[in-house]
Amino acid sequence: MVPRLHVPTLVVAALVVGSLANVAEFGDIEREAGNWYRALRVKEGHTLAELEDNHFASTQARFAIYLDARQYAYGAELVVPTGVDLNEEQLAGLAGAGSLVRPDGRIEVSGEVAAALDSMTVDAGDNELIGPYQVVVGIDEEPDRLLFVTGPGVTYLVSEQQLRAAGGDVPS
Amino acid sequence: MTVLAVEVVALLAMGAVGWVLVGPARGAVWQLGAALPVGIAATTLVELVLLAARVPARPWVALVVAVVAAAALAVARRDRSVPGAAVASTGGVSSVQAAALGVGVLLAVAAITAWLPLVNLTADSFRFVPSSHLLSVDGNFSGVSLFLLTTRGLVLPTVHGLAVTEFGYLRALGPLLGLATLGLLGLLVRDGTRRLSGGFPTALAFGAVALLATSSRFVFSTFYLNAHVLFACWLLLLVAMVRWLLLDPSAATGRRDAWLVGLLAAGLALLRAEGALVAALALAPLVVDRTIPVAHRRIALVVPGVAIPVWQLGVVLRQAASITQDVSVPGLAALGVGMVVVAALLPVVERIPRPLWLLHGLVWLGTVGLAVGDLGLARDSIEATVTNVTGEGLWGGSLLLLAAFVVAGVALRQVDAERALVFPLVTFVPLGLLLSLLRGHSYRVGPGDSLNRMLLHLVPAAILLLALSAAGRWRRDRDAARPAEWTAAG
Repeated sequence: MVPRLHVPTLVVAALVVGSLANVAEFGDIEREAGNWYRALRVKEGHTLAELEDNHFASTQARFAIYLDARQYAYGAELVVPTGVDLNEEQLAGLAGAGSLVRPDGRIEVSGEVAAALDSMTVDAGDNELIGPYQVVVGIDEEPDRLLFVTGPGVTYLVSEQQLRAAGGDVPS
Repeated sequence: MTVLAVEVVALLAMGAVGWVLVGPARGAVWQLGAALPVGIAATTLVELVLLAARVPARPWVALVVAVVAAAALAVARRDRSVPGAAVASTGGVSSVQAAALGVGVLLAVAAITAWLPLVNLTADSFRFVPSSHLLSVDGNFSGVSLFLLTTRGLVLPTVHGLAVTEFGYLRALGPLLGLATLGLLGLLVRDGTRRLSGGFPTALAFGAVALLATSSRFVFSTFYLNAHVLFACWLLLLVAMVRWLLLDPSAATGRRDAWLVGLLAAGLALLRAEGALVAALALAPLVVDRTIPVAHRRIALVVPGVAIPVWQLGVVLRQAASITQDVSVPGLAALGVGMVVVAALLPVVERIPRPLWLLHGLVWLGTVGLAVGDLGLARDSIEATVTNVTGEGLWGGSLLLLAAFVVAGVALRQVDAERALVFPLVTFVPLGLLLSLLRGHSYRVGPGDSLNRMLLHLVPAAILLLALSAAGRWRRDRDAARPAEWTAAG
């Protein structure tokens, strides 16, 4: 026999108890979430020393810096530097094949880009310097991985197929 | 200032589209709450049509087309008012007052989010932004990978593509959708419990809103550039409207509600990878109910049933080297086609005994079958999920407490048309594990785990179910009168 309780009162009480429990835990959870989020952001910022100074202050500023660095596509948590270098011939092949796709979707065909990249150095912040060209893997489980040929201030977006077609090494 | 102005115009325009589509029949406050979510879904569908037709479709083009179409619809409807079925709590607020309130809130939220850096961004956020940018550059998704298309969908790239700055996004979108979700939940609770006396409907509405608003995961998701708060809002709207259709199959608003249900189901399918499956489950109680006009059920099925294959085969497949490159592409396209087939064969489908139980059993069967094939993956996923909901997922005790209350409520009380709410919630239990098995890697411990984030999608609907149980009947009494609804329908 189900007791005849006044259910609306019980449900209101349940909603209030749940809300109070949420409020009581909110601060602790937010602190934990903050730690988690900050840890994520530190990882994201690993390619630019400026991020270390800015990412705690302002998400928007961090994002702007992130975009300026053209590291916008993936958080560094998922970006694995492999140290795979492309030589000039490979880069020229990529460019000559018209297979470099800029982040804005335009095809970059100039071989001069390779030379320009070659003259630059990479500031990897606190991380190891990994040469003038860096191929990074977007995310390892994706079937059609996007790869980023990066230099300071520029990132070229190529697909794995495009990289292979141009004779580039594809990190595993 | 230009960025803020463009953002305001984009949000107002999408809200206006939704305002027209929702219509005034259920009251001005309901129309206001549902306007932006529905407008986003409509704009995305226009974008899909343009993309599939290979018309260069920058998001602003899609929005302008949606606004023009909505304006034409408004003019066409001017002399054909639908008899009202107003949500109880919306009485006394005129359309002008509601619209003014909506514009005021939008301006305030846009100003605050433009001034304060409130938006949270994680690695996942950075995957939406380039998709938006690439879509806004040439209107054709050039350069977007198959992976981004299959996992990030069309909705957020379309919406955030309305931002004019390079790699920009609409800062106010999440907070506005969070407010809309809270408001809609309150309205639905008050409407669904109006048979109670005194101040109980209002107390329950405030309690439900408070429970959701104090959830740290909801708050986080509201300020997080990702799809979660929109998914939760759309799912709440979808199951609530399915419930209305079940409650009053012959309502004058039924046809319009069916169109909106179809629109939201299509939106879910274009929002996240698992959206089509969740939408199919949410539609199931509607589809199998013989009391609802066949035409209405077909509308609700055909809209997502066409949109899903068009997206998967007409747009996503362009980026794939072959149809088998990502098995989700043909699989989800087949699901969409299946919806159309079911719509065509509704008289046959109706003869299947206990279809909801059968569908639920099939989901379990598929889950168990795949789990047996990869026990390690299934075990890892279950262990990670248990760890997440008991602490590491940063839910605190709220998720378990809510689950306990909901189970107790549903065990004792019979809510009107509860299968609209119970079926998708209960069937998500095996579906959650099935998604892990289908993608081939396990869930992980931590708040960023995908299932841990997906759980938020269910929370508003679960709170609604809990609150409605206050106005339900004792299940024992109901059982004496007739079998449980899920059993009777299924």
